[in-house]
Amino acid sequence: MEQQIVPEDYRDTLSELFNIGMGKAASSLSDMLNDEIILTVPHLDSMTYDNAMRLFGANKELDIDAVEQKFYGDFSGSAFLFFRGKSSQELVKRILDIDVNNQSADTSELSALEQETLVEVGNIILSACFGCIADVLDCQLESEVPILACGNIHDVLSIERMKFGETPVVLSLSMTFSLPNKLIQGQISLLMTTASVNSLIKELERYIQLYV
Amino acid sequence: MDSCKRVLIVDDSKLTRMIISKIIEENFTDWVVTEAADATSAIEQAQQNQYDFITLDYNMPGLSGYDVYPILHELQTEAHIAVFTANIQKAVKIKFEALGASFYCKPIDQSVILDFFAVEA
Repeated sequence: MEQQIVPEDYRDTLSELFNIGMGKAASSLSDMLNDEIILTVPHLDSMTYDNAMRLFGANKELDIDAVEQKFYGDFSGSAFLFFRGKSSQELVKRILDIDVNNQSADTSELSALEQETLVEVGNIILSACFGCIADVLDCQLESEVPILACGNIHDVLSIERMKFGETPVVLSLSMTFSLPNKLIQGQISLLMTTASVNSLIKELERYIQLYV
Repeated sequence: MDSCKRVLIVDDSKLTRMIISKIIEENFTDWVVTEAADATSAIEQAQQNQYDFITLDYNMPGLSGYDVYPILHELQTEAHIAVFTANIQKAVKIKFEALGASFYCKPIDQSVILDFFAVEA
């Protein structure tokens, strides 16, 4: 087991805040899909960028779809909503009510409409999480317009592309949400500088102290 | 409201358990609080003690709040049991209400908890 960069109490608190945010997002998505979304218990890990790349790169050259949203304020970074396998396609087709069996031959890439839909799903999920974190911690947190990031994991999480200026720390929230008969696996990762992680820990500490 | 109530808090989040405990401590100094981090521990506690109030999470490792609700209800016939969950979908709320459970949305604050405890007032 890799050593965690963020201590357990803070990970537990942040995990619960993401859980609340995901619950709100699931409620919105459930209304859109007119179906219940089954959520699993979230699990939050904190790790170095290199360890995260090793972990995420287990499937190496497979292309992935991710929605990226930069956030800034009392702490800052880039948030990613990853979809595993064909989850992104399954989800947008379900939202757009497209019959997968009647799709044209090339279904390997998302159409423009499907891309827009996926970005909107990412916006709903990530904004709900940011909103919950900002509200509960009573801190300043803004987010930019989300974008779609496609390619292999090295392209998507490229430090050069994100212009971090230093090797970031990765907070990774694993949570599965599924529709009836369709497993859609998503994962949220936050890439933050060490200074930003320390600012986040400070906010979490201030909040936890209210209840000690 | 009678003094010295017994409360069982069932939630895998330490933060949530801390928040509810703190609210009880500040408002009802003589109440006794027991915490359970999962459904199995909650069942064990419910087999050994009688509670007046039980707060129950939905998404937990192992048995969910929905799985354990009927068991706790059977073991604790006199207890008021309410679900406190981040999973606020209508379908989830309907499922719990069909079981007779009160349903509250996270994040938890004092007014939500006091509202639940007021059921006996």
